[in-house]
Amino acid sequence: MLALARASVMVGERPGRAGHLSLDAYGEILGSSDLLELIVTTLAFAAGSTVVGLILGGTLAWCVERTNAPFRQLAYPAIFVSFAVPGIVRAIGWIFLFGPRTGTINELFRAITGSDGVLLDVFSLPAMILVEGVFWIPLVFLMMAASFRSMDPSLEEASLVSGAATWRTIRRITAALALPSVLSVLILTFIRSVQAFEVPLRLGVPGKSYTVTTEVYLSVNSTIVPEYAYSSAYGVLLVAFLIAGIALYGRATRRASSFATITGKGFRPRVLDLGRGRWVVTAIVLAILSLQFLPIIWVTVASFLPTFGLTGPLWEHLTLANYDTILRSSQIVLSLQNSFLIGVASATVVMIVTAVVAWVIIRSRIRASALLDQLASLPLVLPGVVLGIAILVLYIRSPIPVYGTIWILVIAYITTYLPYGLRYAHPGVLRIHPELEESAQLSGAGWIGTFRRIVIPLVLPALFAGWIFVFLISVRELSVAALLYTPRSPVIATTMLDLWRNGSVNQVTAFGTLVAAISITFAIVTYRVSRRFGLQA
Amino acid sequence: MRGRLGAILTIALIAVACGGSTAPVASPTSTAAGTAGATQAAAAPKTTAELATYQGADRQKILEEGAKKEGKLVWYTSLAGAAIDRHAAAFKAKYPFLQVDIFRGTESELLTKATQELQAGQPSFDVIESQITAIQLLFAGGHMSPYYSPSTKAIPDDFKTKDKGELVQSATDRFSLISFAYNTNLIPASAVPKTRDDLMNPALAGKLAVTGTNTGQRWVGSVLFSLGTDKGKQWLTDFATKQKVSVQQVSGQALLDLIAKGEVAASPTIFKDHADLAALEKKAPVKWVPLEPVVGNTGQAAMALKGKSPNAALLFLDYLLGADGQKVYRENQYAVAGDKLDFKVWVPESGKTTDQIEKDTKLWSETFKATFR
Repeated sequence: MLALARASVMVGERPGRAGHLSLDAYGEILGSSDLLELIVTTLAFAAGSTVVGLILGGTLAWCVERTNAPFRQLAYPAIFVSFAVPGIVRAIGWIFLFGPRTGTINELFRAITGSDGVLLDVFSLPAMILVEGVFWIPLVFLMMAASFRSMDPSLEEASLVSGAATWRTIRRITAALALPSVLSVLILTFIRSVQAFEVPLRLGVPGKSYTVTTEVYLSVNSTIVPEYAYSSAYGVLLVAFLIAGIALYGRATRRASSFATITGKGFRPRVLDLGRGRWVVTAIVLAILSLQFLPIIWVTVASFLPTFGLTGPLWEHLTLANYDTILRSSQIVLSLQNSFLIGVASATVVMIVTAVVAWVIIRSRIRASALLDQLASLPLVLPGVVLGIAILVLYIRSPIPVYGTIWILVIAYITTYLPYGLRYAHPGVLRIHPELEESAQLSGAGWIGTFRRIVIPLVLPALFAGWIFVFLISVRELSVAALLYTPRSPVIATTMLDLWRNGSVNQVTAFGTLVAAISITFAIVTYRVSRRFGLQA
Repeated sequence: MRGRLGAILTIALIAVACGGSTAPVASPTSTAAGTAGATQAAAAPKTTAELATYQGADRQKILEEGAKKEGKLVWYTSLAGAAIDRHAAAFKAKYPFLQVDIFRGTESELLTKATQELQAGQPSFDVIESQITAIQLLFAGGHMSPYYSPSTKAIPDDFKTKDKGELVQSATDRFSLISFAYNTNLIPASAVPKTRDDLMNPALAGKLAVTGTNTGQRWVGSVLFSLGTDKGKQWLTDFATKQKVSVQQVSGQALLDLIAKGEVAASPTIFKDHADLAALEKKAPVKWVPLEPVVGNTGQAAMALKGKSPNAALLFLDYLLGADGQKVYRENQYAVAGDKLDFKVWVPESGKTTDQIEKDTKLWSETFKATFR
């Protein structure tokens, strides 16, 4: 945070030359004629994406956890796959589908309707909202699924017994019980959408829809010596705005006990028998999942083509040349290994730390607990590139020799993903009624014993979901890694960036497909293991 | 200026201007070594600065023995495309005992990373290959070493930033050329432009895109350079409005892929080496044509003062600037110093100090933003 504030007022730094203090960056931003338009576009984009992500992801979670729709469990492995595919590859996939000239769906639309228009122009604000919203489905799904799974059904049963119809019960009871999770996921998705830059950059710029993040990115990259003052000043203003959002979240969940749904009574979540309607729900589940898969399928096809625009039947051009090229690179294997190690280490540390932090925040009566919550949430509002620079500057000078190793990335990811872990651990602990811990303490257990024997087992499903999330998102993370990796410590995302800049799009799609294939394997293994131990991701 | 790279004269100006604006790194031995003569027996070099400027007859032997102990080389480069791995493979074929670790980034990313590492006293690169501004800024910060390489003798003086005697601060290893490429299925021969003004042809309206990276900004710079700032800005405004030009915020290579796919029909911001290689090796329906002045990105090769593998660094510089390295560049459709080209090339850094080029870059970037947003 201090690094961000310092960077925002420091201009003119050069190799071997110190900079000087100036508030010019703030003046430039606040005096800009584009500012209002930027804010409006950013808010429309973030709010739209949040709504799309919440509706689709929430619906998916409810269908999977609380109905008897056939094939609903397909959602878990499917979500894993879509999670691990990097943003750049997805953006390419969407261009293949909805490109105004050659997008497959737009071509189909023209062939069917005979018009010369498009169904959806991928380079437009509505398309950006859809793509970003779909991008958030896995996060929303995983968080909401954990919440739906651990609801006390006696409350819903009470509603039904009192004569309320099923939909009224869903609306008044289920939705109300899900509120802390909904709020949590809403704030998180909104904040990340405000910070999102991959989709606005690739899809927004061609359609002239600029957001705050594209403005920041373009300003950093418009000079030879990167000037971080302008982008950092935007960062400071953004942080101020987002801290208000987090404070709002804190207020919304203040009355914690009213949301405690895991009590001393044993229960299993109630599954709605939908009768014939269950096939309709299956169709909804598959439709939502297809939004994840359509772009990835096109990406896979492209990975077997040497280039685009070839005439004649598609199958005549199919080749393994892209795979041959990328697999020859020692960097690919090294980056797969590194990403796996970093993912496991970061996810494990993050979930252990956040479980303790969440418990302290919720249960302790000390005043500092609110501060702890804010502190652990702080990295959430820092743009990745700024956080990357701060960590680089901090650890490159530190006596601990982590620079040039994968451990600097582990440290960076732990810092970056603490808030995400907390968003999983917090609702998980919130749902546990204090009576369980009080019983343990009455039986003579100390706080460590209570935490280990009562809290951890009950919160484990949420922690496991969080672990998976942090693991997968760290595999995909780019903005922090781009600054911290060296030739000896590449990760999947940096290798992808390398291919994007230096290879062809077809090579990028080949690597994307490879990562997706590995993720499917990982998903199947994790899913089976988790079921054996009574957990669900 | 036809028949030869138009950059020759202007590169000479860079050498003069940059030499004046930045203080060359003085090494205790550089003057002596610079005038020692290539065959004169000299004391075996002990420090990196001595090694970098060493010209004794046993130089190759010393470097190979030293490089064997070092075992690896770290190369920072702003090159893009297949040429990077092909260079690494060709160098490794020559010196199998050396591992080449490569970090690729834009000029600005290389500068940021190198500066942060150097300020912390943890330099990790041995050789940097980039456009000249980053290298000059690193020299100004005292992080680079002048060096002697027998390979630079074949490179015309105009393509080198000279230091004392036979020493150079950096030398041009390649030119990346930026101009117009199109999808041959979508643009009829009659609509293919021959001059920049032909880009206003109504047949091209709604079919053109430019890349929003610094490649696009340098192309904007070429328009301002050839027409003058005011007329240039007016031409760009007309071009953006009449031709409904879109901005694709992707690399030149990715934009070329969109052209091959047909999503974009053509662009004046495409690298010759990318387009020629795609057409030649992958049969992509794309063609590159030069619209004067073609923008030239000059790649310069330079040596780190505090790299961990100075012997390997010098062997690599010898390779990159020598016949073997230049051959790999030509095979990958790059131009190299001394090539005969039948079109005019404009090198944005020509005759400018680092401060001037920074100011110009700002102007081009602001003009780009004002024009295409």
